[in-house]
Amino acid sequence: MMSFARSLFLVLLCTFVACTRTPRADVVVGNGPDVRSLDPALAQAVSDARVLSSLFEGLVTPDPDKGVPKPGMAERWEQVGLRWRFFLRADLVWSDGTPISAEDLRWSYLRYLDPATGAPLGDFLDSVRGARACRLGQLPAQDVAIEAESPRILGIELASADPCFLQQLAQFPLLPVPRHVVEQHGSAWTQEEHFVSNGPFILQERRLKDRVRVRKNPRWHGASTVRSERIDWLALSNPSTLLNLYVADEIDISMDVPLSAVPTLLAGGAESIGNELRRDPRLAGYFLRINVRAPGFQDARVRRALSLMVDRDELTASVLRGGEIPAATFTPPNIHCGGLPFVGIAPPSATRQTILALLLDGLRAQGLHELPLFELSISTDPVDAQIGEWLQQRFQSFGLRCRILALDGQSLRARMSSGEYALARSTWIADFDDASNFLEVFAGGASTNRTGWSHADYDALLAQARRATSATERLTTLIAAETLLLEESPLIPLFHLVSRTLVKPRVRGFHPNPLEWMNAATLEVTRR
Amino acid sequence: MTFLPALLTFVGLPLLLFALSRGRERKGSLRAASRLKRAAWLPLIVLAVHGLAFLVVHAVPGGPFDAERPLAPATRAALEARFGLNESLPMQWCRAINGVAQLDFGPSLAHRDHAVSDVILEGLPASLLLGVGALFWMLALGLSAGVIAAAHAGGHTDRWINLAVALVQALPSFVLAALLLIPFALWWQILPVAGLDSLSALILPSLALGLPFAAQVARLVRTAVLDALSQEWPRTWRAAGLDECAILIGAMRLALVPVTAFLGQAAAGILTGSLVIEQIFAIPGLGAHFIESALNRDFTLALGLVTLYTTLAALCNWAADLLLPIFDPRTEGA
Repeated sequence: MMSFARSLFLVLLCTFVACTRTPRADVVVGNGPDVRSLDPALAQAVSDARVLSSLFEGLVTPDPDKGVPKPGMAERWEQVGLRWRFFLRADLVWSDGTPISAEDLRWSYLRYLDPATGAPLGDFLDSVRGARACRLGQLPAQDVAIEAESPRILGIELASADPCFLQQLAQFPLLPVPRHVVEQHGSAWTQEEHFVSNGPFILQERRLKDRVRVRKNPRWHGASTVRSERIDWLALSNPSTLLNLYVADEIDISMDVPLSAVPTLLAGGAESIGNELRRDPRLAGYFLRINVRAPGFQDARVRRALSLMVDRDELTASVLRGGEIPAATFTPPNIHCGGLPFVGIAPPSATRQTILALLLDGLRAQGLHELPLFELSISTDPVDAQIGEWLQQRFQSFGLRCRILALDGQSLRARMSSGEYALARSTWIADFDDASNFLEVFAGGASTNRTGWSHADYDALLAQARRATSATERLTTLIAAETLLLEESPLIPLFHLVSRTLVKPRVRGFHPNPLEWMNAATLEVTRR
Repeated sequence: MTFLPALLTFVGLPLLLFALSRGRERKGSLRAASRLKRAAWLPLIVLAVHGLAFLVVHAVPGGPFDAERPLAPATRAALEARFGLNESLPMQWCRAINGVAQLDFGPSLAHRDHAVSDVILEGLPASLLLGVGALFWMLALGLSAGVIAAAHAGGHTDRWINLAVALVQALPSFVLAALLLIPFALWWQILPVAGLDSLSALILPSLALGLPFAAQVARLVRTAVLDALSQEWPRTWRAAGLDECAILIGAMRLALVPVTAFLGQAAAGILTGSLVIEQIFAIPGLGAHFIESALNRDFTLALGLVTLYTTLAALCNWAADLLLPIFDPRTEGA
């Protein structure tokens, strides 16, 4: 029990601290919402990933430019059949000087798989033999095929071939955690006074709803390449506040810009900060899920007709106006498949008569004359409201009756999970650059599916792609899978997201990429 | 698990205070009896509001572990067991209220590295600073504008002040915030845009928060001062040779009665109004936590904050009631 006197003292102390002026860091990044946790296994958002990647280094490191991960803690690796062997660098130490061994990494991965850890993104090791069963609580951790062959060699055996294994291994939830600190302090290991990491930076300060300040880690093996002494990751979820701070020159990079401000910024001309606005394609899509069990939506023709009714060009050009890319396919146009460009085949556009005929055919097949009144579930976000109203008008122009239901995010997800919806807005953000990361969302029985739709041929194509022996075979199989997905239309793709960032010209080492990943080690500000 | 702390705080303490109040009443000390009775209601109010909030947060659809990618059943079960969400709702409430009695609100479900008490301790100073700043503006601007308007009643100054007061009261706080931000922070850049890196960063948000309340105080003071000046005593004072300044000070003292009565209500309003202002000015206070905890179904944090705000609002009203007799002895024992 915390005594009243202690609470009062702490409040007064914090008030004093709150009044003291914080000196500016070398680079200030308006990062987005508060970091959910400094424990990589518990983190969830892209904004979390940026902070954690500055503090930790994984076995392999994402390289968004090349698509294939580059060496991290492992200086090299080899693959023989289903067995991978990772050779660790000789000079790996935690920021407190404790050496890191392959056994530490094994322990960290098994901790990530343990259901008791509660990792929200817990499936990145699913291709490892025994890992999936372990995270589902069906197999003890020691039976997972991850072993420390020596202090510097980590062996991992896969259950089946996985062309995306390395990319999954580079994901932030798999960043290693310091076993010696976790075992000593339990869940309190992420507190400032205990925190230990192994990346380019170490934690200096963390204030909720304010910032995470990191400083250079002199013990990191690549410390000589780190360009800045201190970086501030500001925890600001309101993009308008970020824009204000950017205009007032109080931050160097803003990772979000209000959608409504984009046209104004662009209209400002070359001399304005609109010139500093970047709109880079992301590997992320905005779409509508269709509940195939809802009355009238059981027939694929009805769903396809609804998809054909949407004029994506008008939506992005007239309603959003933020540079979003109209989506004719579920997979974004800049995605790859085993290193090869993935080009999804968009369904051909149709005339109004064709769409109505398709709709009627689908309805008649279900014994209906018209589509019953249906609900379009959206979030309470103002942009969602704009999109929802535009879609409602669009559907009404084809004689359909559509009602908008605005819900907060958690209520919307709850309704989708329980199947209490007809159409619902959704987004999907890729973890890595591979088309399978999108297409697996709608696999039959996948928890991410939520539409009630499953198709044996689609699942067979996904399975065939997983087994494919060549990149070309995998590419053609996944293209066929997406074509089938769009024919069946358990979803209506609307647009592909872009990252809206503002970057001061004085910033060096900022490399925009579709995964919004950031290499903090290369960031620097050349002139203040 | 023993629920002794909850029983002592929410049953034993009110009963004791009611008994003491009855004893004072018998001894004829009505003022002390009234204060004790009000204090006895405080834990009961907190208990009732907490119970209501508990029902509301559990009645809305969605849970803290719902995400775009659903959790594996084993992971969800492990998390629910860890945070006690697998127990029956009455048991969860009993545990929560027992925690409140010990000032332990449990771990936050969204801020996984923090306990709710830590979140509150970290955010409360900023929110309190903002609230105190707003109260300062409320009293400083409200009192002076009210007295000046009353002193120039019917004149140009009075009309301009009335216009400004009406304007400030009509504008929502986020519009006021923007009107202050644009010139001071963006055009002239003399004050910080956001954050709480220095005390100067407190000026704009506290002003945006305090101005609507200052407008209300100005109206109250103007009316009260004019009312006081229309009574008999100013004439007597003038006849006794006292100057206008002394009379105005006397009228101001009387005007403090409605202002003090308004303080409790204003403090509660400032607490809830800060939610929006904190978001706009990125003040690392409790406002954003309050909104986000509700949206993220962070049950423990939401209940902790509801309890805190209820207690603060009740305490402010209680304090205002205690202050009132100082300025108006007629309210003694009321």
